Amino acid sequence: MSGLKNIRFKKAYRLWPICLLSCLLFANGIFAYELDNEYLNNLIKVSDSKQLFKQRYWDILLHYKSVANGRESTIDDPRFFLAVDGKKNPRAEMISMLESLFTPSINADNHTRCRFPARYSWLKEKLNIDERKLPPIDCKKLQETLEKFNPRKAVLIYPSARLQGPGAMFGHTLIRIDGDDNNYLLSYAVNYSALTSHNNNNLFSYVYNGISGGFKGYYSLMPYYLKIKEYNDIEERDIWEFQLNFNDEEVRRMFLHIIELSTVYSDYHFFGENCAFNLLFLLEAARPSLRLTEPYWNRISFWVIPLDTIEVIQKAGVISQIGYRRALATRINRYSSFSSKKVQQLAFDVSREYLAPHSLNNMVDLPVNDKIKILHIASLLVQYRYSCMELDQKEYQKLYLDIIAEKNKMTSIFPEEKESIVMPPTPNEGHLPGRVSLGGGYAIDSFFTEIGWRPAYHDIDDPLTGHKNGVQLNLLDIKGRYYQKNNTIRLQRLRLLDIISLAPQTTFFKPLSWKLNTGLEQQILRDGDEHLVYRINGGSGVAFNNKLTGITYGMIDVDFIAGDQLEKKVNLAIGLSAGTVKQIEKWWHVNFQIQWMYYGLSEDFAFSRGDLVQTFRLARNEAITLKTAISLSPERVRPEINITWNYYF
Amino acid sequence: MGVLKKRYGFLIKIAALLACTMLFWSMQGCATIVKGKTQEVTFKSEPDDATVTVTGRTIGKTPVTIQLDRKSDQTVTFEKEDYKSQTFPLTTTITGWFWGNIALGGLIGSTTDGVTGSLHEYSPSHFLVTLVPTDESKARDVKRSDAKSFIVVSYKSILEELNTQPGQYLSSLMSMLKILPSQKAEFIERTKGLADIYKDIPEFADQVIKEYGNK
Repeated sequence: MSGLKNIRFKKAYRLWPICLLSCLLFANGIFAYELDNEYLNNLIKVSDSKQLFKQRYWDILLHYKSVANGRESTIDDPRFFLAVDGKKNPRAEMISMLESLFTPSINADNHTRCRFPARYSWLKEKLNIDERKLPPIDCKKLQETLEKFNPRKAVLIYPSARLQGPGAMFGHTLIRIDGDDNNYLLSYAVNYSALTSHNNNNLFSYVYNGISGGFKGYYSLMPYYLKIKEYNDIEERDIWEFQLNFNDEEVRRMFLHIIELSTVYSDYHFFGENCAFNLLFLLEAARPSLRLTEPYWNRISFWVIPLDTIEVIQKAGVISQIGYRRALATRINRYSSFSSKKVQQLAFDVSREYLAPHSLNNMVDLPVNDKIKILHIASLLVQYRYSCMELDQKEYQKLYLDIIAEKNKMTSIFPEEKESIVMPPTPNEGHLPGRVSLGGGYAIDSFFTEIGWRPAYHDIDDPLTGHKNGVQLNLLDIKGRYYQKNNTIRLQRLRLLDIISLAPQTTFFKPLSWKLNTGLEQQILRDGDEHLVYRINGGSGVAFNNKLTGITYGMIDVDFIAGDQLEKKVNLAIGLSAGTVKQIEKWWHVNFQIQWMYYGLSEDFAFSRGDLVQTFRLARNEAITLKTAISLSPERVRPEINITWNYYF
Repeated sequence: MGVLKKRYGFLIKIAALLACTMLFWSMQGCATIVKGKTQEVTFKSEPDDATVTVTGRTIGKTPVTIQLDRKSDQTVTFEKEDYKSQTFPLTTTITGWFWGNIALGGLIGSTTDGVTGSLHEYSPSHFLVTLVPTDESKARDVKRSDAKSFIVVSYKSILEELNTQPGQYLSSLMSMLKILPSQKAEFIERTKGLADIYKDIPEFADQVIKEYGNK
């Protein structure tokens, strides 16, 4: 290493005359500059008189929001502000910005003009700043960046939700910046995400930091083809692309603001200041007349989820076109849905190398069309195995090329060409995530009235349009009831979290289905009456999809309950549940479930129930649910019927 | 009921354990479940000869294959003279990926000039890192490593389009290599030929760039 240092030193030594000359020339430019104090003071005076620091665009660029005693930025990184109290003082920040423009800098790329180009551009226009009065600054890096990206179009990207991972449960949003050509794969996508460093590996730390703002959130740029690989191939998520109708100038403004946000952080809040929310600032920077962030400041629900972002921009009339990029798994499922079980099984065998591609030729009874289908599905499955790193590159390449070569002997047509790509309903056609419900019914011996509130996101009994069948994710589901007979009001349910993932098994994919919910709930105990208990319920099993019964599943359940009415305050049960979720019409679907549980930790008893829920979609954000249920405990049979009107917001 | 309790108490505990285990497994993605305390990992870089350090321990120069402990809280650093040093976390995440997420991390907080290095897993436990020159005038190097990254990351889709119907991936590759639309048919044939000869993806990428990258 010392030798290396020596070489470096010698090289540097030879370069000293050039360095000295450069420094002299450069210093000449810098020191030749004379600050025009009067001009600067005048600019500050004019900006004050115009109250520019109160103007909306300044709020947007500095991410200021109204707070009790003024305004405060949501950005937490001190490097984002030029004034010491810039986070809370818009005027001080503006004055510091103006002063800083007149300060010469040796490193031009770090000068305020280059570092905060959107602020400079706006102030220059508003104050008609004469650039000849400013120190000579060449923002070389900024120019190179602008040339490289050539920002012309903007597209909001929405990778669909995925239950296997808390970060993806609600989907995600990012913005793709396109240049002139149509090679969108090479475009860059702006992403706001938390830096969950490698020190945060355990679930509890992750959740705690995610909720409490313990992670730092950064905007970053990444080639779009990387994001496609991540979402489409690895995470099996379809991607929606919402083209925004911004003009060149608007996209440029947005991009200049993105540069300002480079490497600065703000505290990341999973429910509030998250990807969905922070991207709204970029859209406002592009078109300040959009008021996208303001409605959230005083909203009842304290979270913003990606579907909200889509809803907000749809209402603002910013979406001009919608594109859809299918995940590899979606392509496999979609194409194989046109194929018989036999074709699917043979395709699976070929992809697993149980059957050589050329041996299909020996199956003389098999129609050529089926052989083409088999080879095409097998080629997709092999790609899937490679994406999941089940195959190494050499195995993958050999197998894939063997399959394709065999297929090309039969036809030169790409089989998926024949299939028209059916775009499913877009996420913004589905109901909104919040829900209020009002209903009533009869249980055992009394009529009741029920009201409910659920801020997010989707229940298996909510209308299916725009959502995946068999998937449920409820955060904070509260229901209260008024019973006429006893004239009593009581909390029926306060579920903190309620997840169901019914993932049908196919010839190719064998996922397990699972559920998990926890919270306070009225639970029928041994005496046959309902009692409020704290409950953690989970289960896992398998699901199948067929045309007759829809998604049909069976699970092993575990139920933990805790409450004063229990003999030892807690009890644990093991049980079985089975059911089916079937969409009969676009506006009507049925959810039928039976459950048997045996509680045996302290007092032991068996409990079983059956539920039939029918949902009738009236409009995008309106539905009626009709629920009939019967429960059997050692002491009592308890029927219940309930009709509810649901409104989504 | 007391008899039932005795008989089923143990069964309940076993079943609860089984259900919890199933729940855990069902939440995994398509990640390959790896076994053992160590894992053989190969690191390559563009360009070669970068010093690889895992959590402060120098393990050699690229290309290099080593046995690594499969534990969290590790970082891998690549250093080469005239190139920016790059560090990536090797970490498990609650989405279940052990190594795969490396390709997805490491870029947060990066500069907005788009010149960022990245680490891609192109085959199980085989990683390619693209290094970024410190001297910004070496734009040609940047273009070369951009093209190599694109080919390595998108190899599956490029191979599919070469053998089925040309689409966005080939069009993007042609754009990167400045190949005219009129040369498309010839480009596809020659690239297919290169894919047949060079089975190692980074090597295939090198050959494609060598053939067309000087334009």
